[in-house]
Amino acid sequence: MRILTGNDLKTGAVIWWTGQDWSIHIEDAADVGDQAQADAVLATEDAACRVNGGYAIDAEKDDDGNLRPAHIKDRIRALGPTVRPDLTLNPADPDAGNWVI
Amino acid sequence: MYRYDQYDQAMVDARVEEFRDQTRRRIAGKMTDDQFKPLRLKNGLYLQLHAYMLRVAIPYGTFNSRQMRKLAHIARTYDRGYGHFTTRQNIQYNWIKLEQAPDILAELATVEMHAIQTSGESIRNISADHYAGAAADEIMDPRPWAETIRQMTTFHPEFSYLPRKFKIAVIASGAGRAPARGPVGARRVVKSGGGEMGFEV
Repeated sequence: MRILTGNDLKTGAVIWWTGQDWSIHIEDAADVGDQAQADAVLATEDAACRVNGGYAIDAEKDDDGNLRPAHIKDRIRALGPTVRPDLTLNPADPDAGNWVI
Repeated sequence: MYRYDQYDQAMVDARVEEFRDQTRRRIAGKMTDDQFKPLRLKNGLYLQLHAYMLRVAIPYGTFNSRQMRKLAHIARTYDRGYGHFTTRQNIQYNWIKLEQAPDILAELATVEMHAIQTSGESIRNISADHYAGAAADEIMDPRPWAETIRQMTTFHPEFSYLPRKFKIAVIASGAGRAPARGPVGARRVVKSGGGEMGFEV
């Protein structure tokens, strides 16, 4: 599946396209279909200054139904800093970094 | 340490207001990312993996308590309570919001600090031996030379659009305390056999 990501223009936070809006949680991300649809959404959202540097990526759902980006860069973006588990989006899970690998 | 005169202060204050206007126009959609990116980088503001990052220059690693308290205030008010000092004697704030970046630069200007030329293909912050002035093995205090180079290179148009970044460190000791070997443009103050001072570049 293809999902959209980028950074919030005002805050810089990593965000994911839900189909209606942007969320900081990758589990909210929606499949945007093909690249043409992705480009259309990104053009609209970029023009509205809601996203900075948006792009489409490949992702898949694992056995538990959790979204997992194909590239490690985006898995790190989805989780947060791997050197500081307390600053990730799963601060209570000391093994959250294993998800990236 | 060097203190701003009225012209220095006016230039830095004007630069803050210029960036405030550029940021306002970017957020309002009157400027594209391609147009805004080189402007924010000229003011030390990067967009990294997780958030914006602001790199603040600390010329030759010297600051006073007023400036230190301001850096701490910025960390508490605009970031997550901390910043990272770098090997080149800058401080980086890793969780900055774009809309607050002009306010941070304005706060820095009140204590004679800025983030100009901490990014891009320019001559960057001049670093020095962190023991400068107190090291038994130095042949002179390298900081006056660091300050002279800082004044010569800051705001100079020829040094703001270089083919590549230049990182200058000055040290007056044979020790490896300042990054004076690796960076392009590094300078080591040396004394010749005849007793004359010079630079090993």
